[in-house]
Amino acid sequence: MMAADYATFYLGGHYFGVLANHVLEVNHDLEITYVPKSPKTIRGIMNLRGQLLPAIDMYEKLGLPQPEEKQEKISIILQSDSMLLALLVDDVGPIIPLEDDTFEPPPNNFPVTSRELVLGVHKLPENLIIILDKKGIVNFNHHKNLPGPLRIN
Amino acid sequence: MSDDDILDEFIIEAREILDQLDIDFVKLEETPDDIKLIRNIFRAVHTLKGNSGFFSLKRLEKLCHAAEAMLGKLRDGVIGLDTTKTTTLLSTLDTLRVIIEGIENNQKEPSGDDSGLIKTLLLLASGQALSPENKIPQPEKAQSETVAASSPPDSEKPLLDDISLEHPSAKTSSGLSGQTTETENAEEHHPETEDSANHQDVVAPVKVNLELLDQLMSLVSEMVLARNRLLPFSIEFGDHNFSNAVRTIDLLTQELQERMMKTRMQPISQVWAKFPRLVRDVANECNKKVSLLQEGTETELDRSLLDAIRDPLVHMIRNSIDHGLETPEERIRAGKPEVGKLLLKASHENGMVVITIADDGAGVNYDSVRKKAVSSKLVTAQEAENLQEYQLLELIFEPGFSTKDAVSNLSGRGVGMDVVKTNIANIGGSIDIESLSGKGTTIRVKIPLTLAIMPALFVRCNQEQYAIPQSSILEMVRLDLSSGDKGLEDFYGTPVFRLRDSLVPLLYLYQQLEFDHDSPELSDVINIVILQSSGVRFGLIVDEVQNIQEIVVKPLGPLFKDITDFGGATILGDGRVALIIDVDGIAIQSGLVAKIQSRPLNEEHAITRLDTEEEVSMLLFELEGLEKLAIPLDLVKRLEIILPARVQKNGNRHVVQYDDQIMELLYLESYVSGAKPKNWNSEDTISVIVHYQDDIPIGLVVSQVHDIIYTTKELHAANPPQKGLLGCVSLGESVINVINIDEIIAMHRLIDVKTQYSVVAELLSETS
Repeated sequence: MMAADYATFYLGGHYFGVLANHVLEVNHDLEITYVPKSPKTIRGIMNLRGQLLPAIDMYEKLGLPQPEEKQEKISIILQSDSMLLALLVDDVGPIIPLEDDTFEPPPNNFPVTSRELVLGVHKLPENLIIILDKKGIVNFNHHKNLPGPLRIN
Repeated sequence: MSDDDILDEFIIEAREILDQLDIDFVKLEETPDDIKLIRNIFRAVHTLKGNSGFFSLKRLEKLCHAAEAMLGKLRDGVIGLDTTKTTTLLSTLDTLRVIIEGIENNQKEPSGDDSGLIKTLLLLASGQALSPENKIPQPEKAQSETVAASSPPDSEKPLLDDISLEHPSAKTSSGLSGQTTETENAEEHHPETEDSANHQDVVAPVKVNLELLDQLMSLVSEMVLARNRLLPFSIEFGDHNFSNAVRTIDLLTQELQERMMKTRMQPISQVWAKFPRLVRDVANECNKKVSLLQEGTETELDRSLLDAIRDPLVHMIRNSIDHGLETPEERIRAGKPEVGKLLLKASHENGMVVITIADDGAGVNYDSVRKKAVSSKLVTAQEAENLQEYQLLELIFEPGFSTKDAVSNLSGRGVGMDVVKTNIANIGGSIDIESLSGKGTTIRVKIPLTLAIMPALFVRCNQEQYAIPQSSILEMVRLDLSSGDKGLEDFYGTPVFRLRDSLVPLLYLYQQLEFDHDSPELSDVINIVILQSSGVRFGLIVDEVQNIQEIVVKPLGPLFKDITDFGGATILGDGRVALIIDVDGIAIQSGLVAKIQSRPLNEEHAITRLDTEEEVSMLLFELEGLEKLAIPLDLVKRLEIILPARVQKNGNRHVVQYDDQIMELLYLESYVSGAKPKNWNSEDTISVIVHYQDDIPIGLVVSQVHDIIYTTKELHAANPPQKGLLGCVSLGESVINVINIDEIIAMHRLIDVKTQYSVVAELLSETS
């Protein structure tokens, strides 16, 4: 049986997880500078100790219903190869180990836009955790007007 | 230190030696009797041989040995240097380079046969001439390498940065050469060996990995920002000790930043060092004779910029030799010295580095440019006819443009000046070209001192701060719309306003950035930043003009690369991010550039010519017998047509009533050499240029006033001096004589005096 650690976070009442070893750090209250004319999925850019990274609006990215007022204060800094990007989330949960045998493919009622991002779900005793694919988050190819994979510095 | 490290160091040192040898050999060709130079070369080759022996690199060792044999003979004066020998030595050098490159890639010597080259070297060393079958063998890659010198092997991976060049002589004695003393053989017994041993007292320069240097630089930038965050606290707390500590950190950080910037600065000679060799090779290939002059080699530039300008410069130099300079026969026919001149000059100008590449060749053939522009469908035949010379020069920067009919090995492949222009633009630079038929071509490249830090103007738009690079800002204007007489006008849907004498189109920044507030903060006062981009001058309306700050430019990353409005971002003192506006991007995005180009706002001259500071406007006029005369426009107050009846005599002077003053008429024909007296008919109206001297009008009488022209400031002094003429300026194909108004007035006054003090006056006029 395979097990891995997942970093978890909350967004729009859902519970999500990404592989913990893809996460560089969690930060809060980083100021975001809006970049005019940028796609909706990018809220702007932020400064992480001198490095510029794009802040990803996860509501847009996942196609979740937009809340009245977005108040995501927390950014999960995701590292993929040499790329860094910040996922804006409502709150973070603990890092939890998950076993393969609770894994299930994504349910059919998922919005189409998010299907490429979602690897599947784990049914936990008290709730459901949606596992996101790092590659899907980093990949902006399927979005209109967007260049290929990210490469930040 | 591992074996690999030692080998790496060997490769680096070997390259340094080869680079130096390149320079030395070319120098030696010019001064073949420089015994000291030969000794230096000998010693360098000897060091290389010793090092190769240490690593048992047989090919290198044998080749160096053969070269050394010949150099030894040269040093002892047994044989003399000629082109064949230099060429052989240079091709030996190329072979050595190829071998060293092989070693770097595979950690061992590449296989290959140098026996031909060694034989030639030994043959030449023995003083014999080359028989045909012993022609200089080309090294395997040398052909492509010298031709494609734009990417010499070591420029691809500038792993190490030679920080200090202060002790170049110490270089050969540092590092590995210490070990070579063991392998030194008895052959070497000249005083300089001791010299080089003495150099070991000098502190050897330290080599630092470039990557490390870059990391240090960005750490220092961070440190500056952290310091900025700290500063407000010291004011807030008012604790004396704390404030002192903060103050110390403040000073240290500042010092650190300055020193750090300095370590990245390198003299431009680093790049230019390879050019004598390049020029020699290209000149030989084109059968031309060229002497390369270098000025300002000590000019310092950020090293990332040095890397960036290398290829464009190589390209422009090749172009100058291949296209610009003529063959010796053509030059003699044109009455020029046989050897063409190529000048490379670097200097600091207003915080920018200006690199000039000038040749005294044939200049751009405008007719060929026209033909080529038509055949490559850049313009129609009709348009081509109407294009001015400076517009034709712009075409040279179009992709796929080359006037050379035959595609040569060197240039003329059509991947030329457009790439050069793009590369220069990428580092925030600009390029302009001037060419005079028969006189030569001058290319000026302007680049910023450093990429890392540049001054920028901060503006506010919709509560966000944006930075505009200062290099593209011409001026700032605050327009009060309520004052009535100055307002915005509409020009085919574009708002424009009148700035002095020309119309400037306007863009609203908030519209460009697609912010959706209906109108800019409603106010009668608008702030306009006047910018220059792609030959178009325009005003950008912002909500507020803030301050000018030095900024550190950071790339936005590929996610934003489609947004051409921004050239990057910078981190402000408080840690927030501000976007940097790309002036070209905004201008093109807005469609303004296309609009203006299709429908010029102002007279062509007014917008593109007047703005360049290098130009002056002159009034063109003619005298009897002299068609092309000019007077600087700022000496001209007005132009008048006077009826002969109004001219009155006052003694021997001709005067007219002018406003409420008396204006004396001065017949220029009498004071300018070459002019003939005009026969004035009593019906002829008199054309007068009104010039004021000490608030008194003087009417300069000319035959006809033509036009206002724009020429370069550069005035060629008349030689020998001509009466009444300051010198001449060139306008396209023709030469315009500029009158010397001060001298003319002085002469005129003298003539008045002459009637009374003729002797003194003559004396004066002789000495003047």
